[in-house]
Order: sequence, then structure tokens, then C-alpha cells
Amino acid sequence: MLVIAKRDLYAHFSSLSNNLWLFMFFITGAIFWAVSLGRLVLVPNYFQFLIVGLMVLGIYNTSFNYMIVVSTEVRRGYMKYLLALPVSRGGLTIGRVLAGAAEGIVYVGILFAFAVVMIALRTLVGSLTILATVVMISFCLSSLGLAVATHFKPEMIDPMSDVLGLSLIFFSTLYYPQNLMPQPMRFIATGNILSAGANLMRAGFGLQQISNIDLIVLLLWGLVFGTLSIRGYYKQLRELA
Amino acid sequence: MNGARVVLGRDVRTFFTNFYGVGFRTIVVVLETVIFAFILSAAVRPGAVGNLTYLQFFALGSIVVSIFWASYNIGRDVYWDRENGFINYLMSLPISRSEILAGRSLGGSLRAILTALPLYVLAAILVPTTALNILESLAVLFAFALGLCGLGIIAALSVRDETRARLLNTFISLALIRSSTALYPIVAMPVWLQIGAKLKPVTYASYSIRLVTVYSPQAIFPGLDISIVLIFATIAGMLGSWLFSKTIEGGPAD
Repeated sequence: MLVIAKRDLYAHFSSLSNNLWLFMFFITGAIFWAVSLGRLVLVPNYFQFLIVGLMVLGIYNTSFNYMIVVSTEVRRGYMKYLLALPVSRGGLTIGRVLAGAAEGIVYVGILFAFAVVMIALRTLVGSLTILATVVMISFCLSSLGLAVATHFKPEMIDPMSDVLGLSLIFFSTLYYPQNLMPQPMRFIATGNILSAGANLMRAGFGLQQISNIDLIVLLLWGLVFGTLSIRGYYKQLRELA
Repeated sequence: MNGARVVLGRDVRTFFTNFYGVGFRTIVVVLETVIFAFILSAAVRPGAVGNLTYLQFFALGSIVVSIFWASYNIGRDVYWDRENGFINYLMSLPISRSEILAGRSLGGSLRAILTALPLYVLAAILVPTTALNILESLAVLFAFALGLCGLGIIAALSVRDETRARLLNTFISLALIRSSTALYPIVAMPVWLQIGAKLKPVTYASYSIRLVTVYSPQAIFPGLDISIVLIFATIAGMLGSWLFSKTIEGGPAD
């Protein structure tokens, strides 16, 4: 299990261009986009609000997009080589979920240092809240990506993940607070995993009150996506074997 | 100019072969406008974006962003053609080097305009304008796209390593777009960013499009902004052309 997780983690961070791309996307977003929009809108602390949103977007870009690795392996037939390894199918399955989650956690660690300089952490409880949220949301998004990669036909994976990704991002509180949204959108945003993650992280930074609903949303989706991804990947391995 | 037409046709067709990628990018920009800008419009400081609402401001700026992506990517195509040897095949055809370059630049600009058309329809719904204003702004966008093709070609031919080329392109794209007035007004920027924004051609293209789209005979014509866009297009186009003839095997053009 750890062998697989380590292998995927190394493979991900060995691609200098992809990682620098993600990092530049965040940095330019923070120093140009967030700074300007923060001065443009009347929402209090909008700059800090957006920085946290961009951090969650960073986790999404790494953990959810880990599915590309898995779907490419399925398409090219590399999965058979993995099956030939002396690793149990269960270990292989859990290892894939952990690898995706670890990519998001490590990546956001770099962004976190940047965010701390800009926002400042107030309490130890806040830091722990952020850490726990990053772990949970990385796990959720990695599982969601795997679930998509294993439950859809190869030709449907890209369109499905794009539609899902756009819906998650635009119907969440990553870019705008819930009170600015139209009523039906607020309802969707409440149950959105990205909103829950961003809200909990903002609470950790002391930008808003912690909400139990966000915690429940994150845990529930984690359970659903975790089950779906493990079941889907395990089923795929069994069929190939 | 028959050769240029052939190259142009190929570049436009190749671009739209990846219909899914082009369509997806357009959908993202449309969603950014109708959801992101729509929601934030309600919270924007009054008067910060002049006579426009933030939604209108963003809708017109997003056209410039779309034009940027589609035309600047011609540099990536030139890079790939050089790497996989297709450029040598092009050079062996009875087409002069200047025709190849003209074809590529015009192809890049045309595909950018075609990509931006759905966004222009959306902008025209949000910002009432006249047919003449639309034609004028499309002409400005075409000139801007020509300059971006030149810039893309300069970037593509300046770097040999693929990783560096990708990073350079990402850096140029993000820095030029995000530090310009395409997506937010200059009054919202801190002073250091305002200085930077005033040096970016994307800023002047965005000014031009907004002012031309809402232009009426009583308003001041944005002659200076359009002139800067034209100067950028000329310089970038000439530099791209010079670098192309210098870098690609076979010596100076014609």
C-alpha cells in the first residue's frame, strides 16, 4: 500500500513543469487577482477569503486530477503490471486513494506557508482545524477522482470530470461568499464539498465561525466517495485479474 | 499568397480538430461571466468600473482573454512543428518563408476571432451596442491577435527545452492576463500593479474593446489605446518574423 502511494507521490512531484504550473497559477492568482478583487468588492476580508479559496482550488487541481494517472493506466493497460506486483488488491486500492490525497496535502503545504504570511494564523486550534480539513478534503477529492475514473467508460471520463469539476468550482464558496449567491445556488453550495472545505479552512484562519454543517458535509462526502472509489477500483482490478 | 492561405487553412483546421478542448475553454469563460462576474457584480464598489456594471466589464474583458489563449498558442504549434520536423516539410514545399509566417499569424488570429465569437454574442446581449461598433472592435481584436501570434512565436523560438517552453508560456500568459485590466479595473489595483498594468498590451486591448463597444458619437474615440495595440502588433509581428527567419534552418526569409 505504502509502496504504491510513495511511487505515485514521487512520480507526481518529479514533473517540474506541472508543479511549477500549479504554483504559478496560485501565486499569480494571489498577488494579482486576489489583491485587485479584494480592493474592488465590498465584502470584508475578501482578499483573505480568496486566498483560502485558491488553496482549496490547489488541492482540487492535484488530488482530483490524480484520476488522470489512473484512467491513463487503465487505457494503456499498465494496470496489469501493477497486478503482477506482490501487493494485495486491497493494498493497491487503498494505496491509490492515499497517493491522490498525499499529493494534495504536500502541494497545499507549500501554498499554506504563503497563505500564513499573508493572513497570519491566530491559534493552535485554528492550525489543527486547517490541517484536519486539508487531509479530509484531499482524501475526498482523491476518492471522487478515482470513483469517476473507475465508474465511467474511458470515453466518458474526461467530459464527466470536467462537468463535475466546473459544477463543484462555480457552485461553491471558493470565489464568493454564500450570502451573495441567488437562493437556489446557496442550497447547492451548502452541500458542496469544496464549500465545506473552504469554509472550515477559513474558520481555521479566523475569518469566519466554524460550522458543524460543513464538517458533516465533508465527512459524509468522504464516506460516500471513499466507498465508491475503493469499490470501483477493486472491481476493476478483479476484472483485470 | 496562395501558400499563406494553405498554411492558414491548416492552422485553423488543426485548432478546431480539438473541438472538445476549444469548447471546454469557451464554456469555462462563459461560466466565469454568467456566474462569477454576475455574483460579484452585486458587491462591487459603486463607480469602480465607470459606466459599466462589473458583469458588463468582465464580459468584454473575457473576450480579450479568449483571444489571448487562442492566438498566443500558435507559438506552441510552431514549437511542436519544429520539434517533430513538420516545419522542414513545410519548408520543402513551394511556399516562401514569409508566406508560411503570414499564414501562421493570420491563421492564429482568425482562429482566435472564431473562438471569441460566442463570447462576443454573450457580451453583445449584456452590453447594448451597434453593428458598426462590433465590427470595429473585431478589427482591433484581429490586430491584437496578430501581435499575440508574433509574441507566441518569439517565445516558442527562444527556448529549445520543452519544459522551459511550457513554463515560459504559462508565465507569460498568466502574468500578462492577470496583471492587466482584462478582468478588473485599474482603480482596484495597488499602485505597483497599476504601473505594471500600464505596460501590458492586454490592458490597452481591453480598454479599446470596452470603449469601442460602448462608443457613441458624443464619446471620445480611444485613438491612443488602439494606436498602442497597433504598435504592439507591428513590433511583435516584426520581431517574430525576424526570429523565425533567423532560427529556422535555411537563413533569412526569401
